[in-house]
Amino acid sequence: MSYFAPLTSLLTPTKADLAPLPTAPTTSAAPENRMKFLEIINVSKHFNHPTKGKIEVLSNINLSIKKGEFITIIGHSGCGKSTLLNMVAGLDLPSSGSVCFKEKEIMKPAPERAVVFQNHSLLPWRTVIGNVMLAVNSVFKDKPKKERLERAEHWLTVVGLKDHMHKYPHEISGGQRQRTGLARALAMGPELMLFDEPFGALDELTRSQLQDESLRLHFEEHLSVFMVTHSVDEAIYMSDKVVMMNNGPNATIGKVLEIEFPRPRERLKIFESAQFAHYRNECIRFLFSRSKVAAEAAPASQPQTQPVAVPGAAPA
Amino acid sequence: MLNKIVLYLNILGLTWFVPPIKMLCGQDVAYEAKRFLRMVGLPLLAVAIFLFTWHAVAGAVVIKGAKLPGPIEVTHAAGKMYGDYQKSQANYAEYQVSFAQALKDNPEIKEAEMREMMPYTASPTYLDQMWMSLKTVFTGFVIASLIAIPLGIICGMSSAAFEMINPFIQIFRPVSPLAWLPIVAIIVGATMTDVAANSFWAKSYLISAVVVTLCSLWATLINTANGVAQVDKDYLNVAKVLNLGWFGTVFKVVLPSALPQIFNGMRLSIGVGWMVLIAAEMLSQNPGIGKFVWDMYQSSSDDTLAYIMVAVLTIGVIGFVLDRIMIALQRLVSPGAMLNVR
Repeated sequence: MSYFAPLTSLLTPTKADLAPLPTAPTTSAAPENRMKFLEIINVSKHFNHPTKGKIEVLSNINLSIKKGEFITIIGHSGCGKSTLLNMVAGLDLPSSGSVCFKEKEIMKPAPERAVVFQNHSLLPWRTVIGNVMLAVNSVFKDKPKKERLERAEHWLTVVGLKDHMHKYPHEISGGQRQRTGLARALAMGPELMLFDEPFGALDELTRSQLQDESLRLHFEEHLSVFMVTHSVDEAIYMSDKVVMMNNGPNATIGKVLEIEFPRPRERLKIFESAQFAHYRNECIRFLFSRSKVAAEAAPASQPQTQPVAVPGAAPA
Repeated sequence: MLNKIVLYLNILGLTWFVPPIKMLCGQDVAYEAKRFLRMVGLPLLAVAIFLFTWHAVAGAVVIKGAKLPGPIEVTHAAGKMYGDYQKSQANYAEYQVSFAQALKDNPEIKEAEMREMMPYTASPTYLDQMWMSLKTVFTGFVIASLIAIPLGIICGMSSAAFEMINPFIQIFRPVSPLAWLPIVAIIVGATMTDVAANSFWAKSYLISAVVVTLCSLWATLINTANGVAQVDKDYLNVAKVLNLGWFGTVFKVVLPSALPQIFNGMRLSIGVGWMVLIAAEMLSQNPGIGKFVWDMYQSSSDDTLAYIMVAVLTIGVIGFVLDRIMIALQRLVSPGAMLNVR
C-alpha cells in the first residue's frame, strides 16, 4: 500500500479484515481492539412458505462491524434487514453461514447485545422503572437490590425520564416509551446496541430529539450500534457506514456508503452541507434503481459485497 | 375523586349507582336523571309486568286442587324459610348452652365423646343448604382451576402438548354431569369407606365437588391455552433478549399477559359449575340447594311448589352474583382497567 493511498481505504474493510485471525485470539494477551467485534460471514436465511415452498430471504451476506462503530442497514420493506438484525440479536439463526460476536458464534440472545424494539415492546402491566428493572434483575442477578435499583434509575435519568419512572407505559408519550426501551437496553450493559427501526413510529420532532440523544449516548458511552431503518436521512445523519440492501428475495448487500462527518455531529450543520446532499443522492439513486430492478423481476444473481468508497470531496 | 369512584363502580359492574352519584355531585343532572330512569326504570317496569302477569296466571291455574303459587305465596314461603332459619339459630344456641352445661357437670367425659352422646340432630335449614352449595361449588371450582390453569399454560406454550390434550377436551367437554356422577360416586365411594358421614369430607360433598370439577374444568383450560398462545410475539422476544428463562417468561410475561383470558375462562367455569352442582346434589344427596329441591319434590305439602320457586330464584340470583364477581375480577386484571384505577 502506497503512502498516497486514499484515506477511505483505511476505513473500509478489506478481504484481510474478513479473514479469520491466524493465531488464537482469545487469550488475554490479545488486545481488545485486535479482536473481531461483530462478523456476519456468508449468511443466508430461508423460510418455508406454506404455498410457495422455500423462500430465500437473504443470501450470502458478509459484513463486519468494529467496536464503537455505528452501522445502519437500509433497504426496502421485506428485504430482510430485520431478519438480519434478529440473527445478530440471536432471536433467529442463519440457515447457512455464521454470525459471530467477538469470535464466538451467536446461538441465542445475550445481554451483551441489547435490542431496542420497533414498537417499544414495554410490558403494559409494569411501570417504566418496572420494565427497566426486569432487564436489570435478569442480567445482574447477583448484585444487591439497592445497586440494581440505582442502575435502573441511572439509565432512566440519562434518557430524561427521571420524573416519569413510576408511570405506566400508557401514561407517557410515544417518545418517552421509546426512551424507556432505550434505557432498558442500556441498563443491561450491552457492548452492541441493536436498533430495530426504533424511531419509525414517532413524529418528526420527537424523532430528531431521540436521534440526537442516541448519537450523544453513542459518543459519550462509546457504544457500538447496529441499526435498521427505512429513513435515508436518519441513516446518513447517524452512522459511520450505511449498508444498502438489494431487494429481496435473495437480498444481498448492494453498496456500502462511508459517512465521514466528524463526531459529535451537529444536526443543522450536517443537514445543510453539500456533502449530506451528495450522500443522500447516492442512497436514493441506489434504492430507486433497485426497486426498478425488482419490479422487472430480475434480482441480482451475483452478490455484490464490494464496498464502494465515496470520495471525500463532494460534488455540488 | 368522582372519576375514580365512577371507574370503580363500572369495574364492579354497579353501573346503576353511577348516575345518582354524578347527580349528587351536581354533574349533568338532567342528563344523568334521564339515564338513571332508563337504566333502572325500564328493568323495574319489566319486572312489574312479569309479577303482575304471574299473579294473574297463577290465580287461574289449578293443579291437583291447589292453586299455582303466585308472587305473594312465594314471598310468604321465603319469609317462612327465613323464620325457620332464625328458629334453628335459636335452637342451636340453646343446644350449645346445654352442651356446655353437660360438659361442666360431667368433667370426666371428653368433649368429642360428649358430642357423640348428645349430637345436634336438627335438619339443616334452607340457608344452611345454600351455604353448603356455595362451599361445594367453590371447592369444585378451585380444584378445576388448579388443574386447568397449569395444564392450559403448558398447552398454550407448546403446540405439541395441545395436540395431545385436545382430543380429551373435545370428547369430555360435552359430557353431562349426570353421566359423570355414577362413575365418580362409585370411585369416591370405594376409596372413602372409612370417612364418617358428617365430617367435612362427607362422601356426597366430595362427589358433588368432583363432578363440578369435571364439568367446569374445560372452559378454563381452553381459555388459558388460548390466552397463553396469543401472547404478543414482541413480549416473548423481549423475554428472550432479557434472558428471563422458562420460569421467568411464564411468570413475568406470559401469565400477566394472559390473565384477562384466564379469568374469562374461570368465569365461564364457575357458571357451568353452578348449573352442574344443582343436578349433582340432587343425585348425590349432598345437603345443598339441589337436595332441598329434590326433598321438596318428594314431599307433597301445599307449599312444595312455592318452596321450589324460592329455590329457583335463589339459584338464579347466586349465579348472577358469582358471574358479577368474576367479571369484576376479570376487569381488575385487564391492563387498561387496572392501570386507570391506580
